[in-house]
Amino acid sequence: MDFKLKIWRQRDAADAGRFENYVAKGISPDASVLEMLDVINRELVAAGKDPIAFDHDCREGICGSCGLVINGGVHGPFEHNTTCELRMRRFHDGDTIVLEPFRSRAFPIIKDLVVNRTALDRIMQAGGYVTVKTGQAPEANAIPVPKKIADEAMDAAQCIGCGACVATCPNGSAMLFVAAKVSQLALLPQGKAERKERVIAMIRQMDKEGFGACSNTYACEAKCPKGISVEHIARLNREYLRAGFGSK
Amino acid sequence: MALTGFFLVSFLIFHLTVNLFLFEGTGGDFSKFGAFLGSFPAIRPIEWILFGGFILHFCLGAYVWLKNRRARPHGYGVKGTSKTIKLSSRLSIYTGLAILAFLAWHLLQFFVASRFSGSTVNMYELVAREFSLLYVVALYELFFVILGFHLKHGFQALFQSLGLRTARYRGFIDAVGVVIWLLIPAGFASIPLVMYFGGAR
Repeated sequence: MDFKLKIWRQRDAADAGRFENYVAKGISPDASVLEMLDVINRELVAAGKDPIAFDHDCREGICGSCGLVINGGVHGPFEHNTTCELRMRRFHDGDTIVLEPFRSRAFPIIKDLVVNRTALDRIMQAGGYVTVKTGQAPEANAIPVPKKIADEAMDAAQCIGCGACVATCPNGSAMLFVAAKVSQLALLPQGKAERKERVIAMIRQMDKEGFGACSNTYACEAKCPKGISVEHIARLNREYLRAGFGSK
Repeated sequence: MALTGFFLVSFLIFHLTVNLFLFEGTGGDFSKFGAFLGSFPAIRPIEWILFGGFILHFCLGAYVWLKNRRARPHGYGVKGTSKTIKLSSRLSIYTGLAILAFLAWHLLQFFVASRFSGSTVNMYELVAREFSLLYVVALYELFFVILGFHLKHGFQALFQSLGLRTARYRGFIDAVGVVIWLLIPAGFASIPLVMYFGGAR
């Protein structure tokens, strides 16, 4: 398959950046967007030019490293996939494809399509710790967890921290990410002890990083590769209110 | 935003209840209630609380909007990220501003005209006079569409912000939401239409 590409190139954080045109020829329909970039980069390197920088790691949709805005859609125009899982067969031969980095004040561009998402790591760090006994793995039934609670916690735990929620939110808000992390720990018995301090610290760090505020548009839920529900944002709001008004 | 929004929705329900007495015609309870409110001793502080609710809702909305604009200084080349958002949610700041502009006119038309006229005003006659003008009726109808749109986003959002929009209650909240965003503006919208076409009695 052949494609015309418009790709955001930016030398470093200080550079203004611009779209540059490329042509991709003979791309396999089974190649992912990232593999198409690999092919273009091989040609760029062979021609002595600077290859296009982009983030990637596992290439199987579980690590949260990749993330591009493709034709105006975060992780591409389709729902519930990561950039690395998006195959070229979902486009038409001869299509023009526009590739841009995630845009957020909290995600400064490092180079080309690579953004710095350590703001999300700092929110995690602000969340602190979970009290667990060290030593041998405990007996499985020592702490009973109802199936429904375990399922909800697992749904939240699916978050891979890719930042698609931030990139697609019209407000550049990280609420779905924070909600998933807070939910996962607040639901389980092991995380309940520190739930109040945790939610306050994480929200405070989120605001400090320069993310926007949630205005309940639910754009995040629609584009989250793991389909994490905005119900977790409702839980985050509940946890926050409870931490503010409830007794210690 | 959620708490002030809830307060303003409850005021809308009260306002509509009172307005429905307009259907009784002249000499009905609408003017009597207007006269009662005018002489009710606690009405001044209530007025200020109501104004405060509107001002606070506006200020919080403006603050969130400005903060959120700063959160993405560089937009996307292809504007497609908002495709998955409902129109009512995307336009809530603009529908809110339109409501604010309308409110200023609405207050001049009825509140200022009755409260600062110096003499006792028959509220029914004042309303009937305004709604005998086609452009006034047309503007009000437009406004109620905008109001409905604003409530469509706002009502469900207030429960989300308070952490109550869970899987269990989402269906119920959305059902009540239809009553709020569709029936309240429709109720308001029926009044100018009936008074213009049915003729004030």
